[in-house]
Amino acid sequence: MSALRADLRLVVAEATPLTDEVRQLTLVAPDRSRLPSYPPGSHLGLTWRHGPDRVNSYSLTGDGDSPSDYKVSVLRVPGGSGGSAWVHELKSGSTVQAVAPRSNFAPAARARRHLLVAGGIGITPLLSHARWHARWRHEFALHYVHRPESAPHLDELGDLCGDRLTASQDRAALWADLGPALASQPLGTQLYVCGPHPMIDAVTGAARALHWPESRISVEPFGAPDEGPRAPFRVALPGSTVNVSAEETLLEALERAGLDVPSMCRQGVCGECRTPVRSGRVDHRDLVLSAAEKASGEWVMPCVSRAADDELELQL
Amino acid sequence: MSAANARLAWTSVPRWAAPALPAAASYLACWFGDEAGRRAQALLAGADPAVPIAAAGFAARWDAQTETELRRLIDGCRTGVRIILAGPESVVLQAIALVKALGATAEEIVSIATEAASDASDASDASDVYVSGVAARRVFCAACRRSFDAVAAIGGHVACLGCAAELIVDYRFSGPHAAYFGWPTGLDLHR
Repeated sequence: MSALRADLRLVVAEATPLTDEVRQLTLVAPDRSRLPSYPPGSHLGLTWRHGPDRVNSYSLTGDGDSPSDYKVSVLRVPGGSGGSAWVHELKSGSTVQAVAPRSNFAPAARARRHLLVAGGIGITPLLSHARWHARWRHEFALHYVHRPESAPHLDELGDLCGDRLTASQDRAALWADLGPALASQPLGTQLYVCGPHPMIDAVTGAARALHWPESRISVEPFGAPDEGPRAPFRVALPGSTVNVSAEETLLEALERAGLDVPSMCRQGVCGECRTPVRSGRVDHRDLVLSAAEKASGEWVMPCVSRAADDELELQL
Repeated sequence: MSAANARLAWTSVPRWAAPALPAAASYLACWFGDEAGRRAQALLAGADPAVPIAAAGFAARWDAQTETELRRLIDGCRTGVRIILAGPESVVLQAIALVKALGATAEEIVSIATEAASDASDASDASDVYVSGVAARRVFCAACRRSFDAVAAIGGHVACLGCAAELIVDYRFSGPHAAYFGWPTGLDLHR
C-alpha cells in the first residue's frame, strides 16, 4: 500500500538507448493530449512495482512548458532494488502509472545568472534547466563531467548551449575550468549541482570556501550518502511495538508491520515519508530536513534514518 | 526588549542589529556621510588583511548620481563579496533595495544605520534597535502611488509632496520600495 497518488496514466511512446547503460523514455497521455506543465528540474514518479507500490523518481529533461510528452533518461543500476531494470525492460506501447511531476530543484527566479554543474546522469535535471534558460535567453553556463564511454545528451547539449557548455571527461579537467569559474561569477549568480555525492560535496565545498552564500547554492543529490553502521532498535507506536533489525530500514519494518507510510524515493531525498516523533533521539541520515528540524527531534525520515538509542516512539 | 520594540518586532519596520563583519572573498564598503564612513571603517578594521577591500564614500543623501555610481560598483562585484552599506537609515534602505535588485541576497549585505547605531550605544537591548521616532524616511503615498522623502515618526502625519493628501506613516515597510506605507487619514479606521 502507499498513500502516494500515482494517478497519472502514461503510455511509452518511445524507448531509446542513449548509451549502453542509459535509456530514454518518451511518455505521452493515452489520448495524446498535453500533459501538466512543470518547473524545470522537476521529477516524475514511476510506479515500477504494485502491491505494495514502489515508486522511483526520475528527472524530467524537457523545459516543462505545456509538454506534449514527458522524457526521462534512466541509468541502469546493477544491484539496485529493481526500478531502473524495470525501466530498461519497458517496450513502446507499455502503460505506466506515474506520480505527477514534483519540483524540488527549480531555477532561482531572482538570480541574474545560472551556473550549472552536472556529473554523469546528474545531467538530466540540468538539461531541463538549460532548455529553460536557452528558451528565455537567461545568462547561464553548464559544466558537464562524464566518463569517456558514457555521455548522455552531450550532442544535444552542444546544440542547445553552444560555447556556454564546458564538457570534461575527468575530475582534473572539470576543476581546471570550474575552479576559476566559481571564483569569478558576477554577484547574483545561482549555483546548481547534480551528480554523485563526492562531486556535490567537492563543488559545494569549493563554493563555500569562496564564500558563496548558502542561499545561492542548490543541490539535487541522487540519494543520501552511505548510511554507516546499522544497529537494531525498537519502535513504539500507539498500541504496539515493532522491532527493526540491522538488516532493514525503519520504513521497511513499519511496512512489514502493515502500516501505510507514504514513501517515494526511499533514499532520504524526496521527503515523502516524513513522520512525527513522539519521543527518543533520531540518528538523522536524510538530506531533506534542515539542521534546525533535525535538532528539534520532531521528525524522522524512516526510509534512511534510525534511532540513536534503543527505542524511538512515533506518532503515526 | 522594551514594550515598544516588542510591538515593532511583529512588523516590517527595519531592525538594526549591532553589525558583525562576515568572512568574505572581498568587501565592498559604501558609506553615506562622514559618521557612516567612520563606522564602516571601524568595522573593516577587523578584516583579514589578505582580503581585498573596495571602498566608496558618498554624501549623506540618495540621488541619481549616487545610484549610478553604486550600480557601477555592484556590477564589478563577484560572488563571494560582502557589501557594507552605512549611512542614514533612509539612504541605506534605498541602497539595500538597489543592491538586492542587482542580485545580492540578505546574506551578502551588512548594513549600518547611523541613527540606530547612535541609539544603540545607550540602549540596553542594542541587538534590536528600531528608528521609530522622528527621522528622515521615504513614504509611499497610497493615494497617488508615488514615494517621497519626509521627516516624520512612525505613526506621525505627513503631507504627500505629489498629491498633498494627509498621510499617516504606517508601520508597514516595503524593502523593494525602501519606503513606509502612507495611509490617507480618514482611511485608517483599522487602527
